[in-house]
Amino acid sequence: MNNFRYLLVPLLLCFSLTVNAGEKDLPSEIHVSVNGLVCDFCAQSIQKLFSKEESVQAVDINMDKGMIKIELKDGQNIDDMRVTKLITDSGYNVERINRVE
Amino acid sequence: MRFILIFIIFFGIVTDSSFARPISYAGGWTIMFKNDGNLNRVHAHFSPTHKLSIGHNLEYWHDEEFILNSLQINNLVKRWNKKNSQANFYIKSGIGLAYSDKSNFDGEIKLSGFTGISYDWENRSYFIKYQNRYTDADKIYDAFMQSITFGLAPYQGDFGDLHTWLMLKIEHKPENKENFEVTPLFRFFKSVHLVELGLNDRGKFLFNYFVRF
Repeated sequence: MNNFRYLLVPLLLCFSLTVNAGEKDLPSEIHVSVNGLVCDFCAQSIQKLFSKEESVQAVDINMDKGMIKIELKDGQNIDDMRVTKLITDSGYNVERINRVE
Repeated sequence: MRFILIFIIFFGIVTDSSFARPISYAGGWTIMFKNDGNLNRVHAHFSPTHKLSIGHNLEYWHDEEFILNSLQINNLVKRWNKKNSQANFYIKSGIGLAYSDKSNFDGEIKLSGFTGISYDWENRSYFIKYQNRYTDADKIYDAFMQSITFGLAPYQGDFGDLHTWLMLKIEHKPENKENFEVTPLFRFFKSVHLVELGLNDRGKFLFNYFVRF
C-alpha cells in the first residue's frame, strides 16, 4: 500500500503540472498591429466582427498606434489564422500578431 | 455610349472578388441618406463578403424631376493599407428604372443605369476624394458629373471619440450652364453614426446621414 502511495503522489503531481502548464500557455491578450487604421467609422467593423467571437471578452482599438488589443475569456484562445481572417474581413491588413500572457 | 455603360456595369458586377472589397465589412449593413440642393437619395446595402456590396438605391432629382430606382453594386477594386494612411479605388454601378414627372416626359418610365469610379486617400488629418458618374435614363436624363472633396481634421480623436472634419466639395456638371458647385461642409462621426452638414454657394443645404450595422 505504501509503495502504491509513493507511486500515486508523483503521478498526480506530474498530471497537475501538465494541466497548469497547458493553462499557462494560453494567452490572455492578443496584440495585433494593423495597417490602414485611420478612420474610426470604418474601424467599427473590427469591433463588430470580434465581438461575435465566443472566445473574445473585449476589443480595444488604438488609432494612434494602429494597434488592436483582443482580450480573451479565461481558458479560451483564437488562432492567428482566425485573427488574420477577421481583420482582413474588416478591410485591413495584419502587420504583426503578439500574444501576451 | 450605351454599350460602354452596359460593359462597365457588367464589369462592376462580375469583377473578380480578389480585386474588390466592399465599403462595409463582411456581413455588415449600411444605410445612407443623402440630401442636397440637387437630389434626395437613400442607399441601403449589404456586404456579403468584405469585397462587395449589393444594395438598393432610390434618388429623386429636383430640377430634372425624375426618380431613379436602382439595384446598386459597389466593388472595391483596390485598397492600399499603409501604416498611417488608407486609399481605395471603387467602381460603383447601378441598373434600374427612371420615372419622370417633367413636362414632355411626364409619367414616362425608362430603363436606366449609372456607373462611375471613386478614388479616396486619407490619413488621420487629411482626406481627398475624386469621384465621377455617368447616368443614362434614355430620354429622361443623360449626363456626366464629377466631384472632388478635400478634408481636414482639426484634431485627432481616438477610437470611440467624436470625430470632426472640415470639408470642401467641388462638383462639376459639364452639361449644366452653371457647371461648378462648391459646398463647404462639416463631417461628424461617432461610433456607427456619421453626419454631414453643409451649405453650397447657391444657398442650398446639404444633410447626409450614414449608419452602419
